[in-house]
Amino acid sequence: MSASARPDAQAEAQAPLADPNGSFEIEIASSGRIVEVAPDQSAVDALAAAGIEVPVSCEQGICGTCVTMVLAGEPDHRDMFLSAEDRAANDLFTPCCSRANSRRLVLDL
Amino acid sequence: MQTPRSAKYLMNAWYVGAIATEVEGEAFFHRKILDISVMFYRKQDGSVVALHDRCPHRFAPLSLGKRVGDEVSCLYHALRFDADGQCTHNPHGTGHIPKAARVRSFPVQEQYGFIWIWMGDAPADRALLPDFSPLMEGHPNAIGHTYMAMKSNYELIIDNVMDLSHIDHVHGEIITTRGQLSPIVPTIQETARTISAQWAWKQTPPIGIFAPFLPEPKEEARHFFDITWSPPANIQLTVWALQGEGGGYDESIGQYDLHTCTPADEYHTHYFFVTRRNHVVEDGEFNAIKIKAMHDAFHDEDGPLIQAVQDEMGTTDFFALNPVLMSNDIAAVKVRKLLQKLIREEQGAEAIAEQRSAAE
Repeated sequence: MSASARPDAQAEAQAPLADPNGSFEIEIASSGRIVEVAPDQSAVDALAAAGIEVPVSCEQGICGTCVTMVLAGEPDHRDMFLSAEDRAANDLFTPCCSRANSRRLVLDL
Repeated sequence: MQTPRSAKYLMNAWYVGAIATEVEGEAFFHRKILDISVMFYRKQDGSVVALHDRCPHRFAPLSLGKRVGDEVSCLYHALRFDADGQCTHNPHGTGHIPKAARVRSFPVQEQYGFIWIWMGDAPADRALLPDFSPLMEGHPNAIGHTYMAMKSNYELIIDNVMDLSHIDHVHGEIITTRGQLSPIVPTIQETARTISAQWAWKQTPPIGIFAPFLPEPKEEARHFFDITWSPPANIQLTVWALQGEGGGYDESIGQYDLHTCTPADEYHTHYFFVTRRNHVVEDGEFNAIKIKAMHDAFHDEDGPLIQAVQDEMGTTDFFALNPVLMSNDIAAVKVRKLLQKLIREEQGAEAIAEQRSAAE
């Protein structure tokens, strides 16, 4: 059984992000912890700085090594790995290069 | 009658078994395909037969045998089989023909100068052979076929074509893009069964294979690659160059090619190639030079490198080695993922069919 996002996280996750390159928040579903991703920082780097290692290879959205499940919020996909079908499902995210359209993403980490 | 089934390949698909001219006259032609020995020959009406190249009696390759009309007589003990694989003659004892005295025959179709073979257990579906009809449109001196035996897994050869950035690094003057290709991330298009990639760039002088035929051989030209992978292992590649405004492939200097791979086994691949060009189409001498130059580029440049990569990998499981992939790999990665998915779906469907037949 996969973790599910808390109800208040759902509301936060649905709030749109004003600046597409701006900062956004990642909520770690297993702990509820919030990690801030700065405008000039990748999600993978922000997570690593918080002690959460996501395996990566290409770091540019080609290989799919870092693909992570999204439980709430809307990713801004900047990779080439996910297909149109994957994107439409709104449940996968490549934290090496992608960002968020919503203020917060809840990740299954 | 079941031949061994492999989990390694897409089975219900058309693979090239031979260039049409490899199977000629009265001769038998042998080739290992998806781990199975296959013999090809032409009946007296010219149609092609493909049989499991193994006598069910003592396993002599039937391709060592003799022709009796449209039938094959085994060299070892003269059991004779017809073009459907049915034993028709047993010279031993009473001459009784056991029911099990059959060899598997494989559906074939002759298209685009190749003999395509269907190795799967599902009924052969002719519609699954993609349309490569532009290969057959034009002068007979503007098309050439070639074949290379490669000591590598077939997916490494697909990777090599799906990632055309390698050409500036591996190949010489005739197809260099002068560094234009590597920085480009190709445009990708996906369907349920195909992956396409396009590159567009300008270079001066134009690519060496086309420059002499362009209006201004030393001036800048626009160049395009458009490639499409389709299962199991076909890559249709069109490359063309244009000078001046506008124009499409028909106004260009270009060629329409097909690369297609057939696994012999996991570590050996039959690599087939055909090219159809749209310029100097009547020149048979140039045609021979052109196909030889392309063959030599594969054989002397891609081939040794891909085989060295395979030796170094020591496995066919590319992703298990955690490759550090880059932007040039996008099309190749998508093909690997889609091929894996199609193989998994086929095996899932077969498992269900087996459960159903076991329940009956």
